[in-house]
Amino acid sequence: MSRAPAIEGYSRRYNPLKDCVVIRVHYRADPAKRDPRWIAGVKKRSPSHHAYLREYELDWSSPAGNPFYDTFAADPAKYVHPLKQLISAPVYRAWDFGYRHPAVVFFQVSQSKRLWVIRECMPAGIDSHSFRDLILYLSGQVEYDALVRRPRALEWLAELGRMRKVDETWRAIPEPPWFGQSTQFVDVSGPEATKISATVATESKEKSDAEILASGGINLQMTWQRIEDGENIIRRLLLDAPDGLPGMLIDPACPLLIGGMKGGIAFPKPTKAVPIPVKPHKDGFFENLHDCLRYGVVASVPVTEDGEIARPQTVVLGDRRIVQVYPGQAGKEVGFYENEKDLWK
Amino acid sequence: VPRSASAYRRRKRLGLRLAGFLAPDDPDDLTSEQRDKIGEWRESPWAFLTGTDVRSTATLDFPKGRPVVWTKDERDKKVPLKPFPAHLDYMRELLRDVFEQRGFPRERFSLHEAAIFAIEKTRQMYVSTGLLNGISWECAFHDARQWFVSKVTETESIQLITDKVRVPISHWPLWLQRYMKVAPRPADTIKYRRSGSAIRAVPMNFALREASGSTGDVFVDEAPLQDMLGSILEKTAPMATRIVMVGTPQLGGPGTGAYEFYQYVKFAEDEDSTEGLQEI
Repeated sequence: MSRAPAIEGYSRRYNPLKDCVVIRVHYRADPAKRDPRWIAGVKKRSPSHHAYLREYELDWSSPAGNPFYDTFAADPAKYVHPLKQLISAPVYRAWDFGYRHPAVVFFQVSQSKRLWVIRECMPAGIDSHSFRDLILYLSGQVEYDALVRRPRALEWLAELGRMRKVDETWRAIPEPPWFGQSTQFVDVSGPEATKISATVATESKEKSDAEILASGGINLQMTWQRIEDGENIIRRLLLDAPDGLPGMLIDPACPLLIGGMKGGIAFPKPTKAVPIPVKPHKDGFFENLHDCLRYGVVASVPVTEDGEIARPQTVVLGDRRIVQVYPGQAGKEVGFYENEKDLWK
Repeated sequence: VPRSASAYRRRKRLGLRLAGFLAPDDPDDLTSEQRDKIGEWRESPWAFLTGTDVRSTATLDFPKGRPVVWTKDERDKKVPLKPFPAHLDYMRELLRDVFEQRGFPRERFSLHEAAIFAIEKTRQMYVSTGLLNGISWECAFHDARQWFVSKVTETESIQLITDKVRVPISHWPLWLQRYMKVAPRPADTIKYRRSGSAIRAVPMNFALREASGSTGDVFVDEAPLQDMLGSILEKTAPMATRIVMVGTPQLGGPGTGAYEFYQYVKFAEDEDSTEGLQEI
């Protein structure tokens, strides 16, 4: 194979395994664009520093559009901290199922309710049995030999090994297994996996995924808050705690989740039907890790800062009226009224 | 002046017939110099795109004669048409890599496997224009080629081939235009009648409906903005000999498909290699 003469800013790499050529054309390939004044002009005209990095420095980690977690995207370094040792608490495993990109996020919650995201795993095109056994191996719960009959799990491990060799970002992921045998795990997932459906039409595949996990000794816990609370909890955790650190810290061994939080999880483009989108874009990739995180936080962290949730109490009054009263609102009736006149009392 | 519209149309038809009769649209009608030029340009896209017309007058701006290929620069109000930039070395390399498949090992070539080119580029690098003119060269000088040019919507892809391919064709020397017999219609297909090749403008969902019947190479412009990039790769890989994806990085939204793909090809390497991707 002949080596082409080097041109500044132009590179070509062949990937024999995937039979693909990756060509990179940086602005320095054009002699006219090497002038510092040109670069300064471009920086000035770029709508943001992220846009400049993305469009001119070919940085794949700078978000396009509006990141869903803009607080994180504004200063990602603030949230990325290596966890030197495990907290003496169980490790949560938050699961999201599916054949294309099933995912698990490993995290712990400290006594001060700080969330430490420790590891992530999101293989592609893997069946539920192989995925279960892969996670068990990564968790130190089964030996490597248990994966002999799981070729997709072995492929992912091999790919992880290659990534760790060639890229600095992925080098932060330690050699599996990631946890010792004495680690305790709490497994959580979305409500689809645990709820019992009344009709066939509302049954989900996740239910059978939960059964597959159960056959391997993994019992999914029920979540005690609404899944929709997850976004609020994550946004709260991104705020600074009294000690000055944010309420959520992510280990560098989670490059995909960090990429997602930096802007991979983004608002979709506005459309006529949804001119102001409020939910993140369904991209089939980052959304799986996002779901894991949501399931995880609703199962482990209260939605309010002090952990107290004001829930209305149903009270039956002497005249058999049913009313709902919030704690601390003695005498003030809130909720259902027997007739319209009661509203004006 | 004809007195009626029908008389005007009759005269116009007659004029067109006479013009067609006089026009040298047969290869035998070319001069020997023109034939030599065509032979020379057929050799490589770079030779054609940076070539000059026969017996053209040298000017201060073009001492070697009038360039053959002119492209549109929408940002320049004073001189919107410019000759193909012959001074850009990276463009020469890029055209060689894609159209002569120089990036691949020689023994790899197979008609049954698509060669995938994932091109990540800075904005305003002339990459899409250069490659589309390379595609135009291939269709003009090679028989029975078919290229699909994909953007998000069909309107966008038609606009793309109009601006980047039809406009340069309309500035080719007249004798070359007549010789190549490029059809002005339909808008979504540029047909090169002499070679029987075509460039088709398609929306990003074309792979779902076209790939089962049509075979051709694929050019995906602004790949990270195409939601259906995965489907394009999946469906066209068995049919195409080349898939060329061009784009500027995007993270979030539709760009996630491309992000995933670039991560996938970036990190994969030969089992025996320890240095990741190989430079050739």
